[in-house]
Amino acid sequence: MLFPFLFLALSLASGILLSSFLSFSLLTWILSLVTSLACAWLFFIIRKERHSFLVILLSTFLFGASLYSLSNRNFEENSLQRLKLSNYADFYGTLYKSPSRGLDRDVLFIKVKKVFYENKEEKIRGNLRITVPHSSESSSSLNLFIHDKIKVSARLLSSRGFRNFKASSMNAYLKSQNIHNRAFSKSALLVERLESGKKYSPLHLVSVIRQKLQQKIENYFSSETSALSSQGAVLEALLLGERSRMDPSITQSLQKAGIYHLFAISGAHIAIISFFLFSLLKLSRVPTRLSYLFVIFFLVFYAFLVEGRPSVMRATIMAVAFLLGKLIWRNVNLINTISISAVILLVFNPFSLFNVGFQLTFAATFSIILFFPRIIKYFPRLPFRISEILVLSLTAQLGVLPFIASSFNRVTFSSLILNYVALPLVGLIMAGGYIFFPLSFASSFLSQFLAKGMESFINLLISCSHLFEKVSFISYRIPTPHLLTIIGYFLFLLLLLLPSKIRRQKLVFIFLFLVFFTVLISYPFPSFSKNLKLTFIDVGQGESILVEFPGRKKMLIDGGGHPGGTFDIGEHVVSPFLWEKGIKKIDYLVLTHAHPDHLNGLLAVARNFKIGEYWEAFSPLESDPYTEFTRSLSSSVSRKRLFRGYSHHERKVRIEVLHPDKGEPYVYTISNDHSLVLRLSYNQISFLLSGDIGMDAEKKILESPGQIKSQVLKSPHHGSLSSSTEAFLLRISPEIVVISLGAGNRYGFPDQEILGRYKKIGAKVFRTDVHGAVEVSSDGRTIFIRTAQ
Amino acid sequence: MDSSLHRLSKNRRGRIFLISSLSEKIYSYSKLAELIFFPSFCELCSSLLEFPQERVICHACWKSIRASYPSYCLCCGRFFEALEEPHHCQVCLEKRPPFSHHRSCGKYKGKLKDIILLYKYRHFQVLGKDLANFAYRALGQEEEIWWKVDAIIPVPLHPKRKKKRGFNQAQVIAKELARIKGIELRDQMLLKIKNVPPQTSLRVEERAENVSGAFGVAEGDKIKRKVVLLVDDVYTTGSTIRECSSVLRKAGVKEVKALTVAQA
Repeated sequence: MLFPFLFLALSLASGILLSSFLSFSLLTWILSLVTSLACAWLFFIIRKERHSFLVILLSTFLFGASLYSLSNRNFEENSLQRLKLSNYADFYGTLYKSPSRGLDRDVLFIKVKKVFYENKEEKIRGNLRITVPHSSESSSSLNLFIHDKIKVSARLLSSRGFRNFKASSMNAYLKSQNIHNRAFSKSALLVERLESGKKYSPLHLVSVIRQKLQQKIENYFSSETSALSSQGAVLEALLLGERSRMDPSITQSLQKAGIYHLFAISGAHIAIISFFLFSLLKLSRVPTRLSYLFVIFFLVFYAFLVEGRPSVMRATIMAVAFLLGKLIWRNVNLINTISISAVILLVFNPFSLFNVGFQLTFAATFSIILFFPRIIKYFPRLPFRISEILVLSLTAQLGVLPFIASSFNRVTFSSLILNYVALPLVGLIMAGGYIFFPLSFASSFLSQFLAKGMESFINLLISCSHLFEKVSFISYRIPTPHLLTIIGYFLFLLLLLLPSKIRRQKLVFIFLFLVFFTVLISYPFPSFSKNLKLTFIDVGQGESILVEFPGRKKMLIDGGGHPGGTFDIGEHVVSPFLWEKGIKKIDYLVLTHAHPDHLNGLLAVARNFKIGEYWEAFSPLESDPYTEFTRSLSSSVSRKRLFRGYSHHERKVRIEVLHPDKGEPYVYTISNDHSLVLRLSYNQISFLLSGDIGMDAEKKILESPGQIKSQVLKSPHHGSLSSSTEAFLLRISPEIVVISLGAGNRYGFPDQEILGRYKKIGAKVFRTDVHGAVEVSSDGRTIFIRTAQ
Repeated sequence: MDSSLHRLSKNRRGRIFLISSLSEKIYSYSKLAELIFFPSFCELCSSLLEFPQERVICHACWKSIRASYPSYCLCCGRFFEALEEPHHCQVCLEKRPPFSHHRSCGKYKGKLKDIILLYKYRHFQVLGKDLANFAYRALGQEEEIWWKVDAIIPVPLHPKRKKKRGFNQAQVIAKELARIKGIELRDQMLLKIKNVPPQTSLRVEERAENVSGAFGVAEGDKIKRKVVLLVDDVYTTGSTIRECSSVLRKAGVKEVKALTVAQA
């Protein structure tokens, strides 16, 4: 057999996958595993090797299932994971990873041993991720390494995430990293080193080296405003795999241009490093077989230095297995080698099967191994390896396309072209980097010179990716593809590998594959709704409402958002929610008023979706996110300024504007009372969407003529005491009130008195902080409610 | 082994058995691991290498090589096409070569040729040991070659060529043969002092001229009045062996014998 490990890896992975769907108890899995192992042994004894192998595959499958079941139980029942503390507590533990440095924060990963809170001590074990902020101008003052014992005063973060009818991706991410909880500490002063790690433990040493190298990069690449220039951050990402200090705009541009994969340390990096090492060893006359050993040791060291993401672990294991095979004079089958690395990684951490990085690196490499030799045959031999690079990009793309589409909702083809520039550039930068590191310890003059050179290469790389992000048809966002599309895509892609037995078999498979391919990259399914459906999306503190009209038209009212801060609600919560619903186009984008908790999330929406019309009432004269937002709306979007008296029919739904009045005295900054208030009526059912209005605006609405009675009211201003006057509530007399707000917000929303008022008029209250996303739909006569929790 | 075991106490004997059987187990498991981690195939016939000792070439291929030729020249070892008793060939009768005996293990054709090519040009250094074992199986019991041999000397490579290839093909074979027969290996004695073009790139009549003066002897007094065995991979015209033998003879060696793996 050419690649026995492939079967083992596949059955292990499917065992893990099945176990994640079925919740059989651990005991069931282990019992069946033992039975099947016994069977395998029996078959082996009676010399039925073939049967034995099949049963061993079954055992591997059951082993994967038990392993997942065991890890899952350990994770879910972990005491740290279940710990709920609202105040600061002292966590004692050991660092198990070098601190990760961000632009304005450090992230510590500690193995907690005990917690001290409210004057009592508790033994608790688990992995904790602690964020420690520092100013963005200076470098971090924390000087911690792996195996240091520390004490941190920190507050646990609520790990509920945003609940929008789908498992939170943050929680899944934490699980795949085996992190049980997250915490926040105000300052580096609250972190205290109790005991330094053992000086000569290898991991500690590697961690020290890593920090030394980071310091070297900081020394030579700093800018006036921050400790590390954006070029330096790119270099750090390329050489040490630390991507969190990269400028978000550069990251975004690289993702858009489709070359962000080069920043995941993987096969390309390992290949470049091995090439340099081999050349160096050959020059210094080291015998070939000795240099194999040397390279193996160095690669393992490097994998620890960059603190293995799945991609670098995969590449390192493959490279080490390859060299070992050569060392003992065996053939090396690439499919077998990649399967070995999959098995090792999965046994080590079965959750990594659900890690996007794991999926991407294995999909790309498998695809290259399987298809590269088959496709390269049809290409002519051209100088500078033009054909090879194209086919390499093409085959890698084939493998990762569905994963990128479903995890990042992105389709990008620009890497096919951009790789020609990016690959050599990245190679040069990395080569420079590997010379730079030893040089920086020797001569500062020469390294300065080298740093300047690398800086210009990095600038070139960044401007290349900026150039390509403008071209929208080679890189765009799409709704999450259906599982069936992905299955069909891979099924026919793999069927293409079968030897041709029936006439025209290949052609038929190619045709079918192309059908699925087209479906995947274009998402041709319209998102259709029978009822009028409003979803109050859980965006934390803020507001965002999706309106699905009967038929195909969609309206998005506000986009949530954090004032300041680096987490982009629009990109990571609102957009994924819309994609999950299969939405490509927002026919009406409505901004009630330009406050950050309503506006900031719309920036990403304007970027990611096609917009039909844009509605607003008053706009601020000068506000950074607002100008950025209007600029990101394409010029073809028709912009409407709506005031009281405007009405519009969308099928049978009537949309009226109740507020503000055109004659409203205008001031320079937008206040809550400038909010746009909409009333949607569908036969007998009406919805009043009241923005953030306060009592003055409510009074004005009451004074104006016209029907405002509504069955569903969106509570004005997140349930603040300054709104929801009794007179207003009586006139509307809602049956259902929805409040959109974040749990534990600092404004104290919702006000208890207001909740009392809602109760008094007999309205049922739904809150996004309690219920998660709230979906209210109506066929014109009845109201249906569904909540995420 | 058995006789030495008798002298051990019962207790220790048990431990040794345990250790040896354990190491055997570990060895067989490591073989199994090798099989599933690096399933490998014979470079010649592409069949799976499943036996522990198999490297690069499968046992079946090794066994299929014809190793014994009944008819050869008693002196220079050249194989005769016709089936006759071994006797002296015309060339040796007219002029005795500087060596006393030479024997090749097989014909330089078919699988043996493929293996030697793999060994020399595809960097499968590990094949050297297998070739030595092959040579031992073929000629290991021939008294006329091994009788009274004091040292084994491989035909040297010029240091530059050796660096390029990574190893001296004759030296690897000679080393293994020396180990099997328990004879001393002297691989620093005969040296190639002139980097001449490889014999394979030349025509038959140019070869003798090419190697003349290319070899030299260091520490010649150590082999004075000794019998040595020259080892090389391929014997074509015999120019290399002849030149080496005469250089060794001039250095005072009593008798030179020669063994090559294949004969073209």
